[in-house]
Amino acid sequence: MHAALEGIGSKSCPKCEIPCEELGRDRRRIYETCNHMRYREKALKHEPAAAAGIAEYFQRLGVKIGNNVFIGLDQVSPADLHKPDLLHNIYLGLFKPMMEWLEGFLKKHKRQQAFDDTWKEIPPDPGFSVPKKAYREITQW
Amino acid sequence: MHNLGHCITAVLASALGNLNSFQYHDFKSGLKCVSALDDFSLMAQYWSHTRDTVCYMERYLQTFHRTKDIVLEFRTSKATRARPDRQDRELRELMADQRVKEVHHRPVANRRRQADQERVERSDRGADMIRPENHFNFIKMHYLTHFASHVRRFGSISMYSIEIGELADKDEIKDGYRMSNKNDAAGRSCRHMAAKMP
Repeated sequence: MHAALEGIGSKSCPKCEIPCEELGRDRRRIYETCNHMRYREKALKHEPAAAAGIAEYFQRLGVKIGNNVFIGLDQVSPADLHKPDLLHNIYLGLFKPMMEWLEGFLKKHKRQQAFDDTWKEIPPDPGFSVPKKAYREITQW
Repeated sequence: MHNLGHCITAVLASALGNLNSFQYHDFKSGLKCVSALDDFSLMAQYWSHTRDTVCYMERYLQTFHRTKDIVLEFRTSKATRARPDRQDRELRELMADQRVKEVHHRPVANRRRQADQERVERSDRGADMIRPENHFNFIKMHYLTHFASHVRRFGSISMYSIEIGELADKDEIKDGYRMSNKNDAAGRSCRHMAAKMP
């Protein structure tokens, strides 16, 4: 959704200009913040001969050439509008894949059964609902 | 999923107990990686922050990045796995053909040993093909680096969670849809919601 609204690719960061192939690295350098006004100016005021270079520039940034829905709104910076969402960023975006990696890890070291057994034996605690099934038996979170 | 964050580190630590000296390094890295990500997520859910808590978040994220290579081999997509699988199948068929063509029949133990060696060889080849293709370059992994700056600028992340909104969809929109006659369902659902509002 945010990618469509902000006119960026689905694998692009809505806040900074990090290249796709560096998304998984620990951030060693500060990347420039996305500036859609600058992109617009660049797209409109380029020499015809430099069209290929401009297209390549936007492709590298993962920005689609053209207006996005926020262009023309004063004092609005699309990069600041985007907010992290715990549900999709952490739970579904990271915990779910992390558990898949962890399953592979446990399988490799033959610890799946131990993990399941411990999972089932978690004692009750206020505000914590005790799992009733072994981890591998859970089909939906 | 909420519960998972509260207990995963403890469960994993317990499951990885009774280790031998060969497993020590892998288990330590695996546990560190999972607990760092878990701690980061738990701190991200704080309703108020201080400079220290934000520093902790950044530190946990750094620890995760430092140790995440331990699970890299399990981050294989279906598309990445398809090519080595195909090659493995072809290699297996080739080896089976070669075995059939062999004139002399060898003892069962020898054949079994050779089959085991072939299996290990195929598995190593597949792993070698997959390893360079695996990466963590996906947007949700990168976006964690912006969490700390977001907290500094806008406050707690929990305030912007859309979880409550999505839960409300279940009652408000679905109930409205069920109670409609499915004709102009969107309009009727909206009117149903409006009628329920105080």
